[in-house]
Amino acid sequence: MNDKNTDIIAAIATAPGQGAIGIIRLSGEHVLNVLKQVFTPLPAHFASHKMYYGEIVNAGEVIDEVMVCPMLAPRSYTREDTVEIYAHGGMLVLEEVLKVVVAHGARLATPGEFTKRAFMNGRINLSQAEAVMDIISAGSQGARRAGLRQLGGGLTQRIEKVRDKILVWLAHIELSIDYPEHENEAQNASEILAQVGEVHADLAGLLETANIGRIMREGIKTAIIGQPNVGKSTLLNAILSEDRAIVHELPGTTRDVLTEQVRVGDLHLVIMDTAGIRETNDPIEKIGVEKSIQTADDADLIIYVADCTRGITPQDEAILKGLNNPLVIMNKADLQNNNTHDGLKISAKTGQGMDKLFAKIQEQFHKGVISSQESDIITRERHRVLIKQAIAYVNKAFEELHAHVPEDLVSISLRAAYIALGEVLGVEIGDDIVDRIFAEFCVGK
Amino acid sequence: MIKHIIVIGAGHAGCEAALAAARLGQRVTLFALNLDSIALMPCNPCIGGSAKGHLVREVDALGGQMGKAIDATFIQSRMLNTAKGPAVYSLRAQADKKQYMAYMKTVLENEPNISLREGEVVEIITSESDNAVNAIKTESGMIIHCDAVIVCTGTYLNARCLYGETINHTGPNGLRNATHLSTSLKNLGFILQRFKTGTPARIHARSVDFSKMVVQHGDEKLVPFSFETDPAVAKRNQVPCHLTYTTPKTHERIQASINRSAMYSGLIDATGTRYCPSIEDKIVRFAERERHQVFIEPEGLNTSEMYVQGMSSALPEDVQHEVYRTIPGLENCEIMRVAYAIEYDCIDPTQLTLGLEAKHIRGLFFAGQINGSSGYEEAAAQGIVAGLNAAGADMTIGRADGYIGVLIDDLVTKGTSEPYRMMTSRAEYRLLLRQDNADLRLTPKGYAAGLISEERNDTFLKKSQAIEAEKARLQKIILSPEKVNPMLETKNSTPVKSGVRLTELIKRPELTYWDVITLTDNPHIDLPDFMVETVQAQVNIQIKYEGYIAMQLAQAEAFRKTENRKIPLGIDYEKIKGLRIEARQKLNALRPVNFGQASRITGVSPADISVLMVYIKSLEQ
Repeated sequence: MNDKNTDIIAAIATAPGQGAIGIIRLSGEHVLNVLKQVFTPLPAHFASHKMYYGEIVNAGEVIDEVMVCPMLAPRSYTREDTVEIYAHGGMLVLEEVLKVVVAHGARLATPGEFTKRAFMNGRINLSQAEAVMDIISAGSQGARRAGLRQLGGGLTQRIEKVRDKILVWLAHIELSIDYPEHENEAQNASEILAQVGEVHADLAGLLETANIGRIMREGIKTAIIGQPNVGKSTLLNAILSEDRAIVHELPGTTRDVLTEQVRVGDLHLVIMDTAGIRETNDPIEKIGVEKSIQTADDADLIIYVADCTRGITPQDEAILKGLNNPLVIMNKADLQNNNTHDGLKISAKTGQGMDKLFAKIQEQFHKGVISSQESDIITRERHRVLIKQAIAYVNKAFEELHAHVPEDLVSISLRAAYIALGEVLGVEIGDDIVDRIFAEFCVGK
Repeated sequence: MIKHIIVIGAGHAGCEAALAAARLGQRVTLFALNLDSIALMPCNPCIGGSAKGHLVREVDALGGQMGKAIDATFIQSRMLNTAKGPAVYSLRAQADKKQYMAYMKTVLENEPNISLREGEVVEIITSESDNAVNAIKTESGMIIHCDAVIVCTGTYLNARCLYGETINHTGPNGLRNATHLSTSLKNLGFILQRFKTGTPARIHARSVDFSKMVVQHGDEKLVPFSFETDPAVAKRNQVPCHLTYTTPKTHERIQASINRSAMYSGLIDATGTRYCPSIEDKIVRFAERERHQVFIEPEGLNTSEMYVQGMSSALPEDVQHEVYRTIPGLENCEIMRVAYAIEYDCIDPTQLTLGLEAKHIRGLFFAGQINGSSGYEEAAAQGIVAGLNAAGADMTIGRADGYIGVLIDDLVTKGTSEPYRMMTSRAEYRLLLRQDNADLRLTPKGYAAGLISEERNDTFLKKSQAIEAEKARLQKIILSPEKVNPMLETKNSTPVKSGVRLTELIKRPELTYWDVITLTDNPHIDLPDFMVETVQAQVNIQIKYEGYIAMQLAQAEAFRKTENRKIPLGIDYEKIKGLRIEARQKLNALRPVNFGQASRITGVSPADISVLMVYIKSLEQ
């Protein structure tokens, strides 16, 4: 295991979405060793801050035609040895390149990790420390949401099921170790060997899913939330009409929601569940608190719309409590009102204050409060890597059991598989095994 | 300057604490409520077992007493788990309780720096000016000044024993309890918890029909607990234990009276442990099980009392008699002492440092069940650490260095909501934390602290050098197929086609060091015979599991790096905006000393750790 603070990290550095060029950035000691394994033709020597033309290859297969630029320590963003790979901009290509570098010794960066390293290495000055911390915490929340979004309920259950089987094996082994005199009905080795094929198939199926993934459109997932009749659909239309480059409206093919894409400055917003917003034109329709929060949970950016003339009502407060960093706007500012709430006052109808709204969204994004760094592609790649790890460990345990390696050593591999699957779900191991032993077996003096 | 250290309680924690501090040259006063109950084993008559055996060996490797005490007084010894991997070999010995107590009392009496005192300590007095301990008060009101106090009160604080509707306000075995110190601790700002545990009945040997039970003998080949004990010297006649089972009748009888158990009638509201459930708990929670194991264990050579392991209970006396008699072999059993549950006060151990000192009161240490643990071995392990730290040695043990480290870190970092039992599954690097190498891991630390004598250290160094030399020797020997294949044939091992290194042969699952050594000379090791054997066993394990060990060593190395990243004292976590609220509160309460410890606090996420790293870096700039 490498030191988490100095090993080689990799990420897609350009904003999600289509672009002519996309950048993969790598940082860490010995990063050139990764580059040397995946780049051809190799120069006699990589000089710092020089561009090299060539191809990213994996097992003889050309992934993309690229330019690469090594930037050696300390003259780089992170002050570590860094490599940037300029590939073609399609997300699929970038994902492939990322996969290749990860297969050759890099690991996926966590949100804000490049910036964190830059800071830890003294690259960024003190006044920026707070912004760095914001990026890390907002980024990790974004990652959690992206993880949930990517997994969906069904996939989560499938992983939990496999993970639970492995936990039972572990609990049996640990039980027999910690309670040597306890009569254990389980024949650990033979039982595990009999079930291992099934677990292997389950994991292979999961890997398949992770490989295909969901074709989700990249961008800042934006939710517009609010009570009925506060003007959400007017706001939606106002945002859409501001932007001449509406991509188009389409029914979500992989999810049952309607989405709109819109560009705000250099940002790319994907407005989610526009169907839901439109339905609220029906005065009878009532959005429950729960549904609002559910929609918001998937989002990177939450725009909460309240009615200026009514102010923030108790119902608003109830909904707001469940939301993470919402951008509160007070709509209908064109009408008579005397409320003093300090939300952003706009009128979606007249267009008053819309420029301020857009400026605010941009500002939050650049401050790192909104973060789409953890894109679905990264999440998918992270999951893929972890599931592959789990498969490798289960295979190892299988071979060990066949070779009559003592149970204690087999448990090391099984525990590693269990931890990897836990990471997909974002949960830690904690006292799982001990709890399981006492839940399942009657032991003690 | 010689310190005066007061140890409150002379159980397994108190004995080790007092001895460790005294042997470092400090003056120790050891208080016991009753000098006849020093090193009492109020529950099972045995030391060791899975993970607990590891703790005893670690205490010994540091220079503690428990291993030697049980080596001197055991009446049966077994090494369990030998087929499950080298790291989980489990050494367990039945003790002669009275002899064990007498042995420990003699050791304490012969220690020149220890004064033994009978009496109750009712108050701990601190100097308000600098938040440090400066005296204790006895029940008669006498004030004794001191530099440090180690609280090892076990299960005696406000203890009460219960069975059926009977409540006795005593400690275990009807001994007096301590009723004042809880209040003093509360006044000093400690959060108290109320825990519960229990013990089965003791029965007369003459009333047991052993012919209906499965006999369990001790091991022929003896492995002592202490690295210094010669098995040839410790060898003695052993007595057997016996195994029997509960029957459907047992379960029916318990079910019929379950509401009369103190555990189910609402008399007890303290937190019990999952680790030693009462028989009524087992029947209720695992109703589908047809039978439960019951072990009959002798309490000593000069007594007829037998311990009935597996039958802990808080049922009324009359029901206990009936229930015990439903078990094959116990049809006519005479109960000498009834089973009971015991409740007692303990503190929230997260108020302590990794050195077991209170974070908010200098010189005040805690060890044993007062910290929410259970078990004699867990107590002794904490005792030696608290004793060393109170005496001024800086003794903390990492999770990658010992079970003692795992135990203390778990207690003070995560706290515990039930009596905490050591288990091998709690150790992340257990392949490194084997019972066979406890000396290699910890004796240098014990020596550095001053608890290991020069003489013992010399022997230890010889031993560790011999291990390295023998590994290096085997690594260099390459033998031809003609020399190797005949031996391989007898062991059903695949023949080799070209020359082979002996270390490679040892790695084969079907072969051991001792098979392979027949192909070459015996090593020349200048150590007593029993130590030569431990050297060879060590070489066998280190070569055989080299790959796995190397993997865990690398993990442990990465782990140590985060442990070595210190967190400065006095950080106001509330001010760090990037931390989630829960993390701020937890960090403020726990005040971790390094990033490793911070990352193990429940409710602190990896992102919080990153934020904290950035924050601390910004403080440095």
